[in-house]
Amino acid sequence: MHSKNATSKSKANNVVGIGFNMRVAVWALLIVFGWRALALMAQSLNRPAIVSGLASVRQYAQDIVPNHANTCMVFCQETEEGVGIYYFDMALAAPRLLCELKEAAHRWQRFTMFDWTLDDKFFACAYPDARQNAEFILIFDGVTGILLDKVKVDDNLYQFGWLSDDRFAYSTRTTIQVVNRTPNGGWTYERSFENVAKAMDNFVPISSSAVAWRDENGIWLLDINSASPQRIWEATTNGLVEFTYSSSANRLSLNCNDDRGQYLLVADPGANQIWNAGRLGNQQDYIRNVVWSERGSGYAYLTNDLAGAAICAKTEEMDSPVTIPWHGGIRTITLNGDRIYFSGNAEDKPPGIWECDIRSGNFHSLLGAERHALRYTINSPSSSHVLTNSLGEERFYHIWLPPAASHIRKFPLLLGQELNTWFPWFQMAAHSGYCVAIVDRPFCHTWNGKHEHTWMEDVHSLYETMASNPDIDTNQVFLYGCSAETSYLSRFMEEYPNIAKGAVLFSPTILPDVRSLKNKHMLLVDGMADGDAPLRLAKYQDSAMLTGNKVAVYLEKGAGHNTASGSSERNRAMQVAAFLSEER
Amino acid sequence: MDLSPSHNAFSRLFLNSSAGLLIGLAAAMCLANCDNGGFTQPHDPVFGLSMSAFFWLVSLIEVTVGLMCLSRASEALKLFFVLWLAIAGVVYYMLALRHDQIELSMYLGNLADAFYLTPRLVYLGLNCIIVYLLTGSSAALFLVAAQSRANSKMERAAPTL
Repeated sequence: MHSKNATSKSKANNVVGIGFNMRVAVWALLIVFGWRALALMAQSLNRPAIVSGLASVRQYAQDIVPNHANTCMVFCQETEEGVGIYYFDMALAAPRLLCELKEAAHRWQRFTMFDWTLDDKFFACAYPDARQNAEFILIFDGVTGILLDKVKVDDNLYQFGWLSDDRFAYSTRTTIQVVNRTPNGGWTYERSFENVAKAMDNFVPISSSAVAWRDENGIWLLDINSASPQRIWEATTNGLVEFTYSSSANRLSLNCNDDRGQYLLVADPGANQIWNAGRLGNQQDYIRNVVWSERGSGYAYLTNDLAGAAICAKTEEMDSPVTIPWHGGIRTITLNGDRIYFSGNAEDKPPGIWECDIRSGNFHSLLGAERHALRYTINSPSSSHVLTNSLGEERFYHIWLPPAASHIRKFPLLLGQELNTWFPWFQMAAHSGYCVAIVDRPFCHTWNGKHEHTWMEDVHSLYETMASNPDIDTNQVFLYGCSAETSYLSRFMEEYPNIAKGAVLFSPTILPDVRSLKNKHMLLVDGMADGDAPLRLAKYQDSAMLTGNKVAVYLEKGAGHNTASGSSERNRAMQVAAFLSEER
Repeated sequence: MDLSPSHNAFSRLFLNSSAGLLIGLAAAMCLANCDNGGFTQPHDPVFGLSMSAFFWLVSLIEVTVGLMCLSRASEALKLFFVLWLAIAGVVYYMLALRHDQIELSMYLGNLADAFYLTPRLVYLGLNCIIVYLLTGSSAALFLVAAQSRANSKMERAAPTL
């Protein structure tokens, strides 16, 4: 009896003992899960509304294409999952999505708006269909925006032009195809011209039966009724940038460049005469290529100004061009008669579509910008300045200061070089307490390898300018670079290892040598589908961390080298905001 | 093995707290792994496993040892496993620190983000846990050994009937 009692007591003790122990484990789990829940709450509460707001602003892409009557336009803007082409009736002020290309289906094929017919009856877009593995030209009704036809085209579709209201031509880099509208409303191939160019560009229709294009430094003309093209102009000493041709006047309008900048030539190929129509502007590094109106009767280009940007334009009636300053950034411009359309942002407001009346110099917001203006601004517009870099070249730069700037504490500094367009993370950084200084990339610094880039000289001069300000914390300098710029950023970090504490690199092509880095903090952002980026960046992260550097790698699912959707743009912006906020 | 009441209370308290810490830490690592915010995890500096895989592995070991601490196994065995885990942690640190410039806290960003802490604080916390497990298990094992010696002396000294 005694023994039986002792056994049952021991069993009870064991049960009580295990029960107590289990309670400890349960408490431990409850604490961990509770902490995680609190952390999630704190993270979401700690994210400023302006960051979410700025990250959600949809960016515009490509040129705006208005109809000839200036009553409707098509434009391209990010959607949540990709990019979309929108039809916009200016009287209704409500854009309508016509077609969308999801980011995951994004390849190298063109997804772009082409042009309207002269009577504005139709307009055309290029659309690659990943499911059918084919490229199409979509024909839409110009009045209703309804899709009328899908014309399957050759692979590598490049450029397009309406020859008449029921006939169009399109090109690849080497081939031209002519397509006709049939009486029953369909479209049929009329003629094909194979291998007429080596690398065709600037393809323009010049009459109902002729097209012209640029191939290397020459301009070629093809009468569709003939068999072969003829070269009508060849640049010998002048670098041809853009051209257009008026068949009625038999006049070529050429935009050329040389060491001193850009200028216009007018040529009469028949008479073999060329005359200079004048130099463009006086800032050789800040002249964006000319856009022509009505085959050379007017032109416009984008330049820089202390206001932020400026549009320089000349219509047929004007004797000389006018310069219209714009307080903010501009992406691209389109000239249509006496109106200029562009996507851009006024000072630190989000981007929208704007119309500029060249005669009066007045701007009118058509879409987007005003609606969000108050919600997404830090109420601290950027200021524009000019510096001279170490090469003696003038550069414009912009400074964003934190809201309600305080002189008690020194600001960390974010430096970079970019075009003067809308980048939400500059405002986010300013909102996080950074002083952001961005030098304008010269327009001629494209990625065709023809120009020596001055990223390092520009950013170093910008650093020296900013470092002389006593409010700047020179121990907290961060660099920003995107894509090919990252090669210059990497060289900068290697050559000046003591300047930057860290860097933000988007889609980096070249990364800083880890042997020259010590205690640097870097954020690398790229798309999962950007070639070998996932493997390359992971390897770099490992080697950089072994040498005492902190490297965060953020890879966006479905995205490639460039982001092509609202969601990946938003994710990228949020990561930058979080990184900068942590590092401050 | 019979322990005196005070020794028994000490080792039970230590094993209970160790189980709580290990199970809690394992849960924290699993939670951090489940939501890494899209960031690529670096590879751990000793085995070359991705930090994500490394966390899964470590949390599995922690849960095993933690549950063992709750089991009815002998206290000496439980303490031995806790000591083994703590020593493994120390050895891991020493191997990682072969890389002169390495800063181990940077590998804990994922865990730190998940719990809204700084990596340095997480690193400090982990160090504290290892020190606690190491000293606690060593002390408890020492007491067990001492008690065992005392018991055997008493057994030898006791008159045989």
